[in-house]
Amino acid sequence: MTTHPNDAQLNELVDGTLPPDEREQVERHAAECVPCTATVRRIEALVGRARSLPREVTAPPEAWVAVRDAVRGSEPVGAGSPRRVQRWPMLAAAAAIAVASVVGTLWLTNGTSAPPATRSTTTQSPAPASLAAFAPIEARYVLAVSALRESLDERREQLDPSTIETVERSLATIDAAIAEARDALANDPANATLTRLLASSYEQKVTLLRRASELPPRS
Amino acid sequence: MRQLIVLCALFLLATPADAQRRAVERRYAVTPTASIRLTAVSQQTTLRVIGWDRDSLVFSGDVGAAARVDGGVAGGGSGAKLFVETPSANAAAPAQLELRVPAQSRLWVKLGAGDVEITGVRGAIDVNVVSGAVTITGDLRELNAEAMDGAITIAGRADWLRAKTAGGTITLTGGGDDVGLTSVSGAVHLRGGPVARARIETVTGDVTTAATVERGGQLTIDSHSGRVEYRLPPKDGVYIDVTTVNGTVANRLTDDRALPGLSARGLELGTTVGSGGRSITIRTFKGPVLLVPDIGAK
Repeated sequence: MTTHPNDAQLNELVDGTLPPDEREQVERHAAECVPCTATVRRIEALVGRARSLPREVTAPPEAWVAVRDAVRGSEPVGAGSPRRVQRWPMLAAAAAIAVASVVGTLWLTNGTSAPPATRSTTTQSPAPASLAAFAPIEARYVLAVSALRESLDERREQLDPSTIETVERSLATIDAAIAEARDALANDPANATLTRLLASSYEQKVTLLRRASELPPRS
Repeated sequence: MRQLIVLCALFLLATPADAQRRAVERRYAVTPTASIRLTAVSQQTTLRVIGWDRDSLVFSGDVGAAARVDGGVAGGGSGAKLFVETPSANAAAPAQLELRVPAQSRLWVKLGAGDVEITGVRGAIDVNVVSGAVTITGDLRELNAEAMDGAITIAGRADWLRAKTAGGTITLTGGGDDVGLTSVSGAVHLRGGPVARARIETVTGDVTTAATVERGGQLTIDSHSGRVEYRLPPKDGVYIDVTTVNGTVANRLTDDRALPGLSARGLELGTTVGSGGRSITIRTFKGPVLLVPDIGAK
Protein backbone atom coordinates (compact mmCIF):
# COMPACT_ATOMS: atom_id res chain seq x y z
CA MET A 1 0.00 0.00 0.00
CA THR A 2 1.65 3.20 -1.19
CA THR A 3 -0.97 5.67 -0.03
CA HIS A 4 -2.13 6.22 3.52
CA PRO A 5 -5.21 4.27 4.58
CA ASN A 6 -8.20 6.50 5.26
CA ASP A 7 -9.74 7.10 8.70
CA ALA A 8 -12.47 4.54 8.11
CA GLN A 9 -9.90 1.84 7.34
CA LEU A 10 -7.86 2.67 10.43
CA ASN A 11 -11.01 2.63 12.55
CA GLU A 12 -12.00 -0.73 11.11
CA LEU A 13 -8.48 -2.03 11.70
CA VAL A 14 -8.87 -1.23 15.40
CA ASP A 15 -12.39 -2.67 15.42
CA GLY A 16 -11.15 -5.84 13.74
CA THR A 17 -13.72 -5.56 10.98
CA LEU A 18 -11.38 -5.19 8.00
CA PRO A 19 -11.41 -8.06 5.49
CA PRO A 20 -8.26 -10.23 5.91
CA ASP A 21 -6.51 -9.12 2.72
CA GLU A 22 -7.18 -5.44 3.35
CA ARG A 23 -6.21 -5.84 6.99
CA GLU A 24 -2.85 -7.26 5.98
CA GLN A 25 -2.20 -4.29 3.70
CA VAL A 26 -3.23 -1.68 6.25
CA GLU A 27 -1.25 -3.36 9.05
CA ARG A 28 1.82 -3.53 6.85
CA HIS A 29 1.49 0.15 6.01
CA ALA A 30 0.80 1.20 9.59
CA ALA A 31 3.86 -0.70 10.82
CA GLU A 32 6.09 1.50 8.68
CA CYS A 33 4.20 4.79 8.82
CA VAL A 34 4.64 6.92 11.94
CA PRO A 35 1.52 9.14 11.49
CA CYS A 36 -0.72 6.13 10.80
CA THR A 37 0.70 4.25 13.77
CA ALA A 38 0.00 7.30 15.92
CA THR A 39 -3.55 7.47 14.60
CA VAL A 40 -4.12 3.78 15.31
CA ARG A 41 -2.86 4.24 18.85
CA ARG A 42 -5.12 7.23 19.38
CA ILE A 43 -8.13 5.26 18.15
CA GLU A 44 -7.18 2.30 20.35
CA ALA A 45 -6.84 4.61 23.33
CA LEU A 46 -10.20 6.21 22.58
CA VAL A 47 -11.88 2.83 22.19
CA GLY A 48 -10.22 1.64 25.39
CA ARG A 49 -11.49 4.67 27.27
CA ALA A 50 -14.98 4.24 25.80
CA ARG A 51 -15.02 0.56 26.83
CA SER A 52 -14.03 1.46 30.34
CA LEU A 53 -17.10 3.69 30.72
CA PRO A 54 -19.92 2.12 32.73
CA ARG A 55 -23.09 1.31 30.81
CA GLU A 56 -25.29 3.20 33.25
CA VAL A 57 -24.09 6.05 35.35
CA THR A 58 -25.24 8.99 37.31
CA ALA A 59 -23.26 11.63 35.51
CA PRO A 60 -21.21 13.80 37.82
CA PRO A 61 -21.02 17.43 36.78
CA GLU A 62 -17.40 17.10 35.72
CA ALA A 63 -18.04 14.14 33.38
CA TRP A 64 -18.41 16.14 30.22
CA VAL A 65 -15.37 18.26 30.97
CA ALA A 66 -13.23 15.16 31.56
CA VAL A 67 -14.35 13.49 28.33
CA ARG A 68 -13.86 16.68 26.36
CA ASP A 69 -10.38 17.20 27.82
CA ALA A 70 -9.44 13.61 27.05
CA VAL A 71 -10.51 14.11 23.45
CA ARG A 72 -8.58 17.37 23.24
CA GLY A 73 -5.52 15.69 24.74
CA SER A 74 -5.60 13.01 22.06
CA GLU A 75 -5.30 15.48 19.21
CA PRO A 76 -2.33 14.99 16.93
CA VAL A 77 0.56 17.27 17.75
CA GLY A 78 1.64 18.04 14.23
CA ALA A 79 -0.90 19.93 12.19
CA GLY A 80 0.84 18.63 9.11
CA SER A 81 -0.04 15.04 9.87
CA PRO A 82 -1.33 13.52 6.63
CA ARG A 83 -4.13 11.69 8.45
CA ARG A 84 -5.24 14.27 10.92
CA VAL A 85 -8.16 12.87 12.90
CA GLN A 86 -11.21 15.12 12.70
CA ARG A 87 -12.23 16.26 16.15
CA TRP A 88 -15.92 16.92 15.65
CA PRO A 89 -17.07 13.30 15.51
CA MET A 90 -15.17 12.68 18.75
CA LEU A 91 -16.73 15.72 20.39
CA ALA A 92 -20.12 14.63 19.13
CA ALA A 93 -19.52 11.16 20.54
CA ALA A 94 -18.43 12.64 23.82
CA ALA A 95 -21.51 14.85 23.86
CA ALA A 96 -23.67 11.81 23.12
CA ILE A 97 -22.05 10.00 26.04
CA ALA A 98 -22.81 12.96 28.29
CA VAL A 99 -26.43 13.02 27.12
CA ALA A 100 -26.80 9.27 27.49
CA SER A 101 -25.51 9.61 31.01
CA VAL A 102 -28.00 12.31 31.80
CA VAL A 103 -30.89 10.46 30.19
CA GLY A 104 -29.90 7.33 32.11
CA THR A 105 -29.80 9.41 35.24
CA LEU A 106 -33.27 10.76 34.59
CA TRP A 107 -34.64 7.27 34.21
CA LEU A 108 -32.97 6.19 37.40
CA THR A 109 -34.01 9.31 39.24
CA ASN A 110 -37.58 8.84 38.14
CA GLY A 111 -37.63 5.43 39.71
CA THR A 112 -37.71 3.39 36.55
CA SER A 113 -36.15 -0.01 37.12
CA ALA A 114 -34.06 -0.01 33.97
CA PRO A 115 -33.10 2.57 31.38
CA PRO A 116 -33.88 1.88 27.75
CA ALA A 117 -31.36 -0.42 26.13
CA THR A 118 -30.53 0.47 22.57
CA ARG A 119 -33.87 1.93 21.59
CA SER A 120 -35.93 4.26 23.69
CA THR A 121 -39.60 3.52 24.11
CA THR A 122 -42.47 5.95 24.25
CA THR A 123 -43.45 4.80 27.71
CA GLN A 124 -42.59 7.44 30.27
CA SER A 125 -41.89 7.18 33.94
CA PRO A 126 -44.06 9.26 36.26
CA ALA A 127 -43.18 12.94 36.39
CA PRO A 128 -41.86 14.36 39.64
CA ALA A 129 -44.83 15.79 41.45
CA SER A 130 -43.24 19.02 42.57
CA LEU A 131 -40.72 21.71 41.72
CA ALA A 132 -38.49 20.49 44.56
CA ALA A 133 -38.50 16.95 43.20
CA PHE A 134 -37.78 18.23 39.73
CA ALA A 135 -34.85 20.42 40.81
CA PRO A 136 -32.15 17.69 40.72
CA ILE A 137 -33.42 16.48 37.36
CA GLU A 138 -33.40 20.03 36.02
CA ALA A 139 -29.83 20.47 37.24
CA ARG A 140 -28.76 17.50 35.15
CA TYR A 141 -30.61 18.77 32.10
CA VAL A 142 -28.84 22.10 32.55
CA LEU A 143 -25.51 20.28 32.78
CA ALA A 144 -26.18 18.34 29.56
CA VAL A 145 -27.35 21.51 27.81
CA SER A 146 -24.23 23.35 28.91
CA ALA A 147 -21.92 20.60 27.65
CA LEU A 148 -23.68 20.31 24.32
CA ARG A 149 -23.87 24.08 23.88
CA GLU A 150 -20.13 24.30 24.44
CA SER A 151 -19.57 21.63 21.82
CA LEU A 152 -21.81 23.46 19.35
CA ASP A 153 -20.15 26.82 19.99
CA GLU A 154 -16.73 25.34 19.34
CA ARG A 155 -17.87 24.14 15.94
CA ARG A 156 -20.00 27.12 14.99
CA GLU A 157 -17.59 28.38 12.33
CA GLN A 158 -17.52 24.99 10.62
CA LEU A 159 -21.27 24.76 10.20
CA ASP A 160 -23.55 26.16 7.57
CA PRO A 161 -24.86 29.60 8.71
CA SER A 162 -28.44 28.82 7.71
CA THR A 163 -28.35 25.63 9.76
CA ILE A 164 -26.97 27.51 12.75
CA GLU A 165 -29.76 30.04 12.30
CA THR A 166 -32.37 27.27 12.34
CA VAL A 167 -30.82 25.75 15.46
CA GLU A 168 -30.63 29.08 17.27
CA ARG A 169 -34.21 29.97 16.34
CA SER A 170 -35.45 26.64 17.64
CA LEU A 171 -33.40 26.96 20.81
CA ALA A 172 -34.90 30.40 21.42
CA THR A 173 -38.38 28.91 20.99
CA ILE A 174 -37.59 26.17 23.49
CA ASP A 175 -35.98 28.58 25.94
CA ALA A 176 -39.09 30.77 25.88
CA ALA A 177 -41.23 27.71 26.63
CA ILE A 178 -38.91 26.63 29.45
CA ALA A 179 -38.97 30.10 30.99
CA GLU A 180 -42.75 30.26 30.79
CA ALA A 181 -43.26 26.81 32.29
CA ARG A 182 -40.69 27.47 34.99
CA ASP A 183 -42.36 30.71 36.06
CA ALA A 184 -45.70 28.93 36.20
CA LEU A 185 -44.16 26.09 38.20
CA ALA A 186 -42.72 28.56 40.70
CA ASN A 187 -46.27 29.75 41.35
CA ASP A 188 -47.74 26.26 41.35
CA PRO A 189 -44.95 23.98 42.57
CA ALA A 190 -47.09 20.86 42.94
CA ASN A 191 -48.37 20.90 39.36
CA ALA A 192 -47.29 17.57 37.83
CA THR A 193 -48.44 18.61 34.35
CA LEU A 194 -46.09 21.57 34.46
CA THR A 195 -43.14 19.44 35.52
CA ARG A 196 -43.91 17.01 32.71
CA LEU A 197 -44.14 19.82 30.14
CA LEU A 198 -40.98 21.41 31.50
CA ALA A 199 -39.15 18.09 31.28
CA SER A 200 -40.45 17.66 27.74
CA SER A 201 -39.08 21.08 26.73
CA TYR A 202 -35.69 20.30 28.28
CA GLU A 203 -35.69 16.97 26.48
CA GLN A 204 -36.34 18.80 23.22
CA LYS A 205 -33.47 21.16 23.93
CA VAL A 206 -31.04 18.35 24.72
CA THR A 207 -32.13 16.43 21.62
CA LEU A 208 -31.76 19.47 19.38
CA LEU A 209 -28.34 20.35 20.76
CA ARG A 210 -27.22 16.73 20.49
CA ARG A 211 -28.30 16.67 16.85
CA ALA A 212 -26.61 20.02 16.21
CA SER A 213 -23.39 18.79 17.82
CA GLU A 214 -23.39 15.85 15.42
CA LEU A 215 -23.85 17.96 12.31
CA PRO A 216 -21.17 17.44 9.71
CA PRO A 217 -18.97 20.44 8.88
CA ARG A 218 -19.57 22.21 5.61
CA SER A 219 -16.81 21.59 3.12
CA MET B 1 -30.79 32.40 -38.79
CA ARG B 2 -32.09 33.86 -35.57
CA GLN B 3 -33.08 30.38 -34.40
CA LEU B 4 -29.59 29.12 -35.15
CA ILE B 5 -28.04 31.90 -33.08
CA VAL B 6 -30.37 31.12 -30.18
CA LEU B 7 -29.54 27.42 -30.41
CA CYS B 8 -25.82 28.18 -30.45
CA ALA B 9 -26.18 30.46 -27.43
CA LEU B 10 -28.11 27.78 -25.56
CA PHE B 11 -25.46 25.22 -26.43
CA LEU B 12 -22.68 27.46 -25.16
CA LEU B 13 -24.57 28.13 -21.97
CA ALA B 14 -25.33 24.47 -21.44
CA THR B 15 -21.91 23.06 -22.18
CA PRO B 16 -20.01 24.27 -19.07
CA ALA B 17 -22.67 22.88 -16.73
CA ASP B 18 -22.73 19.52 -18.49
CA ALA B 19 -18.97 19.42 -18.54
CA GLN B 20 -18.92 19.82 -14.76
CA ARG B 21 -20.87 16.63 -14.23
CA ARG B 22 -19.94 12.99 -14.43
CA ALA B 23 -21.82 9.75 -14.17
CA VAL B 24 -21.46 7.34 -11.28
CA GLU B 25 -22.37 3.67 -11.32
CA ARG B 26 -21.27 1.07 -8.83
CA ARG B 27 -22.62 -2.42 -8.37
CA TYR B 28 -21.90 -4.77 -5.50
CA ALA B 29 -23.14 -8.15 -4.36
CA VAL B 30 -24.39 -7.85 -0.78
CA THR B 31 -26.29 -10.03 1.66
CA PRO B 32 -30.08 -9.61 1.94
CA THR B 33 -29.75 -7.96 5.35
CA ALA B 34 -26.61 -5.96 4.66
CA SER B 35 -25.84 -2.79 6.59
CA ILE B 36 -25.48 -0.03 4.04
CA ARG B 37 -24.16 3.43 4.83
CA LEU B 38 -24.26 6.40 2.54
CA THR B 39 -22.76 9.75 3.49
CA ALA B 40 -23.12 12.77 1.23
CA VAL B 41 -22.76 15.91 3.26
CA SER B 42 -20.70 18.35 1.26
CA GLN B 43 -22.94 19.19 -1.67
CA GLN B 44 -26.61 19.58 -2.53
CA THR B 45 -27.85 16.05 -3.08
CA THR B 46 -31.07 14.60 -4.34
CA LEU B 47 -31.23 10.97 -3.33
CA ARG B 48 -33.70 8.29 -4.25
CA VAL B 49 -33.43 4.95 -2.46
CA ILE B 50 -35.31 1.92 -3.69
CA GLY B 51 -35.55 -1.38 -1.84
CA TRP B 52 -35.63 -4.34 -4.20
CA ASP B 53 -35.75 -8.12 -3.94
CA ARG B 54 -32.20 -8.72 -5.13
CA ASP B 55 -29.01 -9.41 -3.21
CA SER B 56 -27.19 -6.55 -4.80
CA LEU B 57 -26.57 -2.87 -4.40
CA VAL B 58 -26.55 -0.42 -7.27
CA PHE B 59 -25.38 3.12 -6.70
CA SER B 60 -25.84 5.39 -9.69
CA GLY B 61 -26.45 8.95 -10.74
CA ASP B 62 -24.36 11.93 -11.54
CA VAL B 63 -22.17 14.15 -9.43
CA GLY B 64 -20.06 17.25 -9.88
CA ALA B 65 -16.73 16.75 -11.64
CA ALA B 66 -14.83 17.62 -8.46
CA ALA B 67 -16.77 15.18 -6.29
CA ARG B 68 -15.03 12.13 -4.91
CA VAL B 69 -17.09 8.94 -4.77
CA ASP B 70 -15.59 6.29 -2.55
CA GLY B 71 -16.53 3.21 -0.61
CA GLY B 72 -17.12 -0.46 -1.09
CA VAL B 73 -18.31 -3.61 0.57
CA ALA B 74 -16.79 -5.59 3.40
CA GLY B 75 -17.47 -8.70 5.43
CA GLY B 76 -18.47 -10.77 2.44
CA GLY B 77 -21.16 -8.30 1.46
CA SER B 78 -22.65 -7.90 4.92
CA GLY B 79 -21.72 -4.25 4.97
CA ALA B 80 -21.25 -1.45 2.49
CA LYS B 81 -20.11 2.13 2.88
CA LEU B 82 -20.45 4.80 0.27
CA PHE B 83 -19.23 8.39 0.39
CA VAL B 84 -19.72 11.34 -1.88
CA GLU B 85 -17.46 14.21 -0.94
CA THR B 86 -16.61 17.48 -2.57
CA PRO B 87 -13.35 19.10 -1.49
CA SER B 88 -14.61 22.67 -1.37
CA ALA B 89 -17.98 24.37 -1.29
CA ASN B 90 -17.08 26.35 -4.42
CA ALA B 91 -16.71 23.16 -6.42
CA ALA B 92 -19.78 21.53 -4.93
CA ALA B 93 -22.05 20.95 -7.90
CA PRO B 94 -25.33 19.23 -7.00
CA ALA B 95 -25.47 15.45 -7.01
CA GLN B 96 -28.39 13.38 -8.17
CA LEU B 97 -28.15 9.86 -6.88
CA GLU B 98 -30.11 6.64 -6.88
CA LEU B 99 -29.38 3.77 -4.55
CA ARG B 100 -30.95 0.34 -4.94
CA VAL B 101 -30.59 -1.90 -1.92
CA PRO B 102 -31.95 -5.27 -0.76
CA ALA B 103 -35.39 -4.68 0.71
CA GLN B 104 -34.43 -6.22 4.07
CA SER B 105 -31.22 -4.26 4.45
CA ARG B 106 -30.33 -1.86 7.22
CA LEU B 107 -29.88 1.52 5.65
CA TRP B 108 -28.05 4.47 7.17
CA VAL B 109 -28.11 7.73 5.24
CA LYS B 110 -26.57 11.05 6.19
CA LEU B 111 -27.13 14.00 3.90
CA GLY B 112 -26.11 17.65 4.21
CA ALA B 113 -28.48 19.58 1.99
CA GLY B 114 -31.03 17.94 -0.24
CA ASP B 115 -34.04 15.73 -0.33
CA VAL B 116 -34.28 11.99 0.26
CA GLU B 117 -37.00 9.72 -1.00
CA ILE B 118 -37.01 6.11 0.16
CA THR B 119 -39.38 3.42 -1.02
CA GLY B 120 -39.60 -0.31 -0.54
CA VAL B 121 -37.02 -0.78 2.22
CA ARG B 122 -38.52 -3.23 4.71
CA GLY B 123 -35.57 -3.65 7.08
CA ALA B 124 -34.36 -0.64 9.00
CA ILE B 125 -33.73 2.96 8.04
CA ASP B 126 -31.80 5.63 9.88
CA VAL B 127 -31.86 8.81 7.81
CA ASN B 128 -30.52 12.18 8.83
CA VAL B 129 -30.80 15.27 6.65
CA VAL B 130 -29.53 18.63 7.77
CA SER B 131 -31.37 20.79 5.29
CA GLY B 132 -33.96 19.10 3.15
CA ALA B 133 -37.00 16.87 3.18
CA VAL B 134 -37.34 13.18 3.93
CA THR B 135 -40.05 11.05 2.31
CA ILE B 136 -40.42 7.39 3.19
CA THR B 137 -42.98 5.03 1.71
CA GLY B 138 -43.63 1.44 2.77
CA ASP B 139 -43.79 -0.74 5.87
CA LEU B 140 -40.59 -1.56 7.66
CA ARG B 141 -39.13 -2.84 10.91
CA GLU B 142 -37.32 0.21 12.28
CA LEU B 143 -37.27 3.80 11.23
CA ASN B 144 -35.40 6.79 12.59
CA ALA B 145 -35.79 9.93 10.50
CA GLU B 146 -34.29 13.27 11.44
CA ALA B 147 -34.36 16.58 9.58
CA MET B 148 -33.36 19.95 10.92
CA ASP B 149 -35.85 22.15 9.11
CA GLY B 150 -37.22 20.01 6.31
CA ALA B 151 -40.44 18.05 6.28
CA ILE B 152 -40.59 14.37 7.17
CA THR B 153 -43.35 12.51 5.40
CA ILE B 154 -43.92 8.84 6.15
CA ALA B 155 -46.55 6.63 4.55
CA GLY B 156 -46.42 3.19 6.13
CA ARG B 157 -45.84 1.50 9.44
CA ALA B 158 -42.84 0.46 11.50
CA ASP B 159 -42.46 -1.63 14.62
CA TRP B 160 -40.28 1.13 16.01
CA LEU B 161 -40.56 4.60 14.54
CA ARG B 162 -39.03 7.94 15.45
CA ALA B 163 -39.23 11.19 13.50
CA LYS B 164 -37.63 14.41 14.69
CA THR B 165 -37.46 17.89 13.22
CA ALA B 166 -36.82 21.36 14.52
CA GLY B 167 -38.89 23.43 12.13
CA GLY B 168 -40.23 20.95 9.60
CA THR B 169 -43.63 19.33 9.43
CA ILE B 170 -43.96 15.66 10.32
CA THR B 171 -46.71 13.68 8.63
CA LEU B 172 -47.20 10.03 9.44
CA THR B 173 -49.92 8.30 7.50
CA GLY B 174 -49.78 4.87 9.03
CA GLY B 175 -48.64 3.70 12.40
CA GLY B 176 -46.51 1.34 14.40
CA ASP B 177 -46.01 -0.44 17.68
CA ASP B 178 -43.83 2.22 19.22
CA VAL B 179 -44.04 5.65 17.64
CA GLY B 180 -42.39 8.92 18.65
CA LEU B 181 -42.87 12.15 16.69
CA THR B 182 -40.99 15.19 17.92
CA SER B 183 -40.87 18.74 16.60
CA VAL B 184 -40.02 22.15 17.99
CA SER B 185 -42.07 24.50 15.83
CA GLY B 186 -43.15 22.25 12.97
CA ALA B 187 -46.63 20.79 12.84
CA VAL B 188 -47.18 17.09 13.46
CA HIS B 189 -49.91 15.12 11.70
CA LEU B 190 -50.72 11.52 12.55
CA ARG B 191 -53.29 9.83 10.35
CA GLY B 192 -54.59 6.35 9.77
CA GLY B 193 -52.88 4.13 12.31
CA PRO B 194 -53.10 1.81 14.01
CA VAL B 195 -50.60 2.75 16.68
CA ALA B 196 -50.00 0.71 19.82
CA ARG B 197 -47.98 3.29 21.73
CA ALA B 198 -47.41 6.72 20.32
CA ARG B 199 -45.97 9.87 21.77
CA ILE B 200 -46.05 13.28 20.11
CA GLU B 201 -44.12 16.24 21.47
CA THR B 202 -43.95 19.79 20.16
CA VAL B 203 -43.03 23.12 21.65
CA THR B 204 -45.00 25.50 19.44
CA GLY B 205 -45.97 23.19 16.59
CA ASP B 206 -49.61 22.28 16.08
CA VAL B 207 -50.66 18.66 16.41
CA THR B 208 -53.44 16.90 14.52
CA THR B 209 -54.19 13.24 15.05
CA ALA B 210 -56.82 11.15 13.32
CA ALA B 211 -55.38 7.70 13.85
CA THR B 212 -56.75 4.48 15.24
CA VAL B 213 -55.14 3.36 18.48
CA GLU B 214 -54.96 -0.39 19.10
CA ARG B 215 -57.09 -1.87 21.89
CA GLY B 216 -55.21 -1.27 25.13
CA GLY B 217 -52.95 1.16 23.35
CA GLN B 218 -51.81 4.60 24.36
CA LEU B 219 -51.40 7.93 22.62
CA THR B 220 -49.74 10.81 24.48
CA ILE B 221 -49.50 14.37 23.18
CA ASP B 222 -47.47 17.07 24.92
CA SER B 223 -47.24 20.58 23.52
CA HIS B 224 -46.29 23.84 25.11
CA SER B 225 -48.28 26.20 22.93
CA GLY B 226 -49.26 24.26 19.85
CA ARG B 227 -52.90 23.72 18.99
CA VAL B 228 -53.88 20.11 19.55
CA GLU B 229 -56.69 18.62 17.52
CA TYR B 230 -57.67 15.06 18.34
CA ARG B 231 -60.01 13.48 15.82
CA LEU B 232 -61.62 10.34 17.14
CA PRO B 233 -61.93 7.55 14.56
CA PRO B 234 -65.53 6.27 14.35
CA LYS B 235 -64.97 2.81 15.85
CA ASP B 236 -62.45 3.62 18.55
CA GLY B 237 -63.53 3.47 22.18
CA VAL B 238 -61.20 5.65 24.21
CA TYR B 239 -60.57 7.27 27.55
CA ILE B 240 -59.32 10.80 27.02
CA ASP B 241 -57.44 12.74 29.67
CA VAL B 242 -56.78 16.40 28.89
CA THR B 243 -54.85 18.84 31.05
CA THR B 244 -53.96 22.38 30.08
CA VAL B 245 -52.34 25.04 32.22
CA ASN B 246 -53.41 28.15 30.36
CA GLY B 247 -55.12 26.80 27.26
CA THR B 248 -58.71 26.08 26.36
CA VAL B 249 -60.48 22.77 25.86
CA ALA B 250 -63.32 22.26 23.39
CA ASN B 251 -64.97 18.85 23.65
CA ARG B 252 -67.29 17.87 20.81
CA LEU B 253 -67.20 14.16 21.56
CA THR B 254 -69.19 13.96 24.77
CA ASP B 255 -71.17 16.19 27.09
CA ASP B 256 -68.35 16.32 29.62
CA ARG B 257 -66.83 19.73 30.15
CA ALA B 258 -63.36 20.71 31.19
CA LEU B 259 -63.19 21.88 34.80
CA PRO B 260 -60.62 23.88 36.76
CA GLY B 261 -57.81 21.69 38.07
CA LEU B 262 -57.21 20.71 41.69
CA SER B 263 -55.26 23.84 42.45
CA ALA B 264 -57.87 25.92 40.60
CA ARG B 265 -55.32 26.49 37.84
CA GLY B 266 -55.82 25.37 34.28
CA LEU B 267 -58.43 22.99 32.98
CA GLU B 268 -58.83 19.25 33.23
CA LEU B 269 -61.09 16.92 31.34
CA GLY B 270 -61.53 13.18 31.64
CA THR B 271 -64.05 11.62 29.32
CA THR B 272 -64.85 8.19 27.96
CA VAL B 273 -66.20 7.24 24.56
CA GLY B 274 -67.22 3.57 24.19
CA SER B 275 -64.82 0.90 25.42
CA GLY B 276 -61.57 -0.65 24.31
CA GLY B 277 -59.05 0.36 26.92
CA ARG B 278 -57.41 2.91 24.67
CA SER B 279 -55.88 5.82 26.52
CA ILE B 280 -55.39 9.27 25.06
CA THR B 281 -53.45 11.78 27.16
CA ILE B 282 -53.13 15.39 26.06
CA ARG B 283 -51.14 18.01 27.96
CA THR B 284 -50.54 21.61 26.93
CA PHE B 285 -49.26 24.70 28.62
CA LYS B 286 -51.27 27.23 26.65
CA GLY B 287 -52.14 25.48 23.44
CA PRO B 288 -55.86 25.05 22.78
CA VAL B 289 -57.22 21.51 22.68
CA LEU B 290 -60.03 20.39 20.40
CA LEU B 291 -61.68 16.96 20.58
CA VAL B 292 -63.87 16.14 17.59
CA PRO B 293 -65.18 13.08 15.78
CA ASP B 294 -63.27 12.14 12.65
CA ILE B 295 -66.22 12.51 10.33
CA GLY B 296 -64.14 12.13 7.22
CA ALA B 297 -62.86 8.68 8.24
CA LYS B 298 -64.56 5.51 7.03
